[in-house]
Amino acid sequence: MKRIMIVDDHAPVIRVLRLGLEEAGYEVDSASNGSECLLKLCDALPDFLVTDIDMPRMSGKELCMAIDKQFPNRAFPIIVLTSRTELEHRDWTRNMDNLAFMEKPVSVRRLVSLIGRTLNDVEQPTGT
Amino acid sequence: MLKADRIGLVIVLASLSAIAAIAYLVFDYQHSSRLDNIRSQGVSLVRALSGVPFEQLAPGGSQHGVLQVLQHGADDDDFAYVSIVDNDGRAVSELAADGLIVPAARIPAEPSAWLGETQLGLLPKQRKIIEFHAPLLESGELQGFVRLGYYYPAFGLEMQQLSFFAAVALPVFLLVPLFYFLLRREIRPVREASQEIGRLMDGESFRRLEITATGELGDFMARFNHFIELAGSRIEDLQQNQKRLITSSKLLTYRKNRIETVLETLPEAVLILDESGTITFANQKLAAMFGVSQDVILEQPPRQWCDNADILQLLAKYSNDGKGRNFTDTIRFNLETAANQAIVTKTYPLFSPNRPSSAIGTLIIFRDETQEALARQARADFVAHLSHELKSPLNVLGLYSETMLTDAGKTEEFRIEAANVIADEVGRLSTLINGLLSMTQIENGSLTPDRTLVKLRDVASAAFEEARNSAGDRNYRFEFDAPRELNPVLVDKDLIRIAITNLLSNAVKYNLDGGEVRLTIEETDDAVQIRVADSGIGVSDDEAAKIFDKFYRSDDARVQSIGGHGLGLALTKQIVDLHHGSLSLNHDREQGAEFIINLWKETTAVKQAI
Repeated sequence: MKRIMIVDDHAPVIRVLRLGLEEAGYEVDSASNGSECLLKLCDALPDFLVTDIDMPRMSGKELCMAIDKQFPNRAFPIIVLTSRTELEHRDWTRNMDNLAFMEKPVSVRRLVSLIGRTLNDVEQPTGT
Repeated sequence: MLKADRIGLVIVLASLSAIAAIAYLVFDYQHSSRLDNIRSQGVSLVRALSGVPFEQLAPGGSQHGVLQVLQHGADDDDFAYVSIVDNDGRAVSELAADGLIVPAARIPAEPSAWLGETQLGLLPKQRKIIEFHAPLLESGELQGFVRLGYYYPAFGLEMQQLSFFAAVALPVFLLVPLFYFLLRREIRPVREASQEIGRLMDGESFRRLEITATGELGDFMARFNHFIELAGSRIEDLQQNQKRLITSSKLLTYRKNRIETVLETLPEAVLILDESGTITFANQKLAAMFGVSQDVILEQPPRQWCDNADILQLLAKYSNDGKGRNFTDTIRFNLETAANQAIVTKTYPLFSPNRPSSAIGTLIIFRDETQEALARQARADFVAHLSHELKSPLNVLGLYSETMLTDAGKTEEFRIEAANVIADEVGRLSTLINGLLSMTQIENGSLTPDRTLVKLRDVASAAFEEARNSAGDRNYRFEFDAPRELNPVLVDKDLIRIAITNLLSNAVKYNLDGGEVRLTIEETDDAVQIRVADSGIGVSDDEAAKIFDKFYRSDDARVQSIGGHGLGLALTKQIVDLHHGSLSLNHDREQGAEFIINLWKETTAVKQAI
């Protein structure tokens, strides 16, 4: 079963996404901010990472940069949920591979479909 | 006049001196001719007498012999004495003028000096005498001497000569003044002309001299008057020219000042180059922009006062042949002297009014668009913040509504959770939208405060209770301290309530477990102060500087972990400003923060109303 890490400071968001993704057959882990997520990554790497940007302690941007530094050859894709559509708000991802943006408001269905397609591209999903 | 008198005096003195000189010469001539006369007479007489036998000269007894005869013959004022002396010098016979004692004989020893003359200086105040003497010989034997004395002729005017001298002096004396007055009469026109010229010089005017003169002087005066007329008209022309020059110079100065004043008054920094690219004008604002004086810009090469490569390149383009100047140019750059300063230069060719085809220089306008750039940035930030703040609750609403349609969302448990989350997010959205609306209304001036006399204690108390309720079961200590006898204040009740509520809401939100929320109202003679204090996480110096900015949220994790739009304090500040009050923050506390709203009382109005 593929493991997906969700990072968001808003508990209801994690709750809903967890429901949707678990229903789609994924194992879901969560963190309420970037630093908490980094700690969890040290234990085990997920197959997929979904993160918000505006979070206390460590933002999504800082988290991505830290991951890029700590795991330069990471295999898991990252999806950043953002309300910012301007290109300059995405400048910092220029040198990062395997990273995509999804604009808010987010749809669970679309997220599940994007994750499914992305993982399919890498290898055939073992889930349903 | 004094000068003329002095000349007259000199002339009189000169004439007197001339008369005196003439008189002296005449007297001198007379004197020497008489002396010669006496000498020839004396010599010839003494020679004649020396030839007379001694006995005849001195017959003895009371006879005087020849001398007697001589006395009668010698009826002359000058005759002094005649004396016959023997070898020893004793007088044998003598004859003298009245009252004269014959001086003692001084007979020379040498025979060669026997014949001669001697001057005898007698007693003082006595006339000098000239004596002729000769030996008396008889058969070769010296018998004695004959002495003949004459008075030395007197040097002076004699009575009979006075009339002659008077006759000579009088015409001289009369003629000299006559000549003098004639001379004066002749030179009078010259003198008058001189005085007239003096007056003209004093009056600084040129006109003809009204002086009548004849002869050569008349010609001179006519020529002189002609010269005066020519010079006068020339000077008048010059004065006219000078007036015209002064007027046109004043006009030019006025025009120059007017243009420079306009250029100085412009809100932009201005630089003017001539056709060779030399800087001919720089206004004060340009000097201030580069932090140097105007003189430095005009006198020093650009690299002395400007570090910016873009500007140096721009100025270089207009120097030398200036080929690049016939177009309007816009360059944006940042000055190194001021970080984040956005300067836009626009250059315009200046065309000659008479020959519009040829450029006579370049006008460069430096426009400081920092404020505009900041405003643009602020607008962009605002929109970004707003979209973020709106999209976050919308995101949650979307996620829940979508999930409710799936199987997982159909459980009773999820439905209750969804209802609560949706209510919370709608509340968040509502607060955000209300805050934005109020703020927008205040900012664009469409919201005018509806001021009434408000019992501040009641308003504050209601807000306080609301805050206490919102805290729920959190372990906070609430304290409300407002005097009951507080005077009503002229404010917009709803707006002031929003302001107090915002402060109380923050005091609850950012508090710590077991913390305190305290609302105090104090009244002084001229103001009312509403203090909202908490014992929460506090405010740092950096945060305090921006805490009233719109959408400002601290980076502090404790703040980030608490929901908020960054609008509450900005709105509170705007509301207080609208009431001409002040909102301050006391963050130098050991714990928590204290916000103070200061509202000025309109004392007189309030008291009258009560």
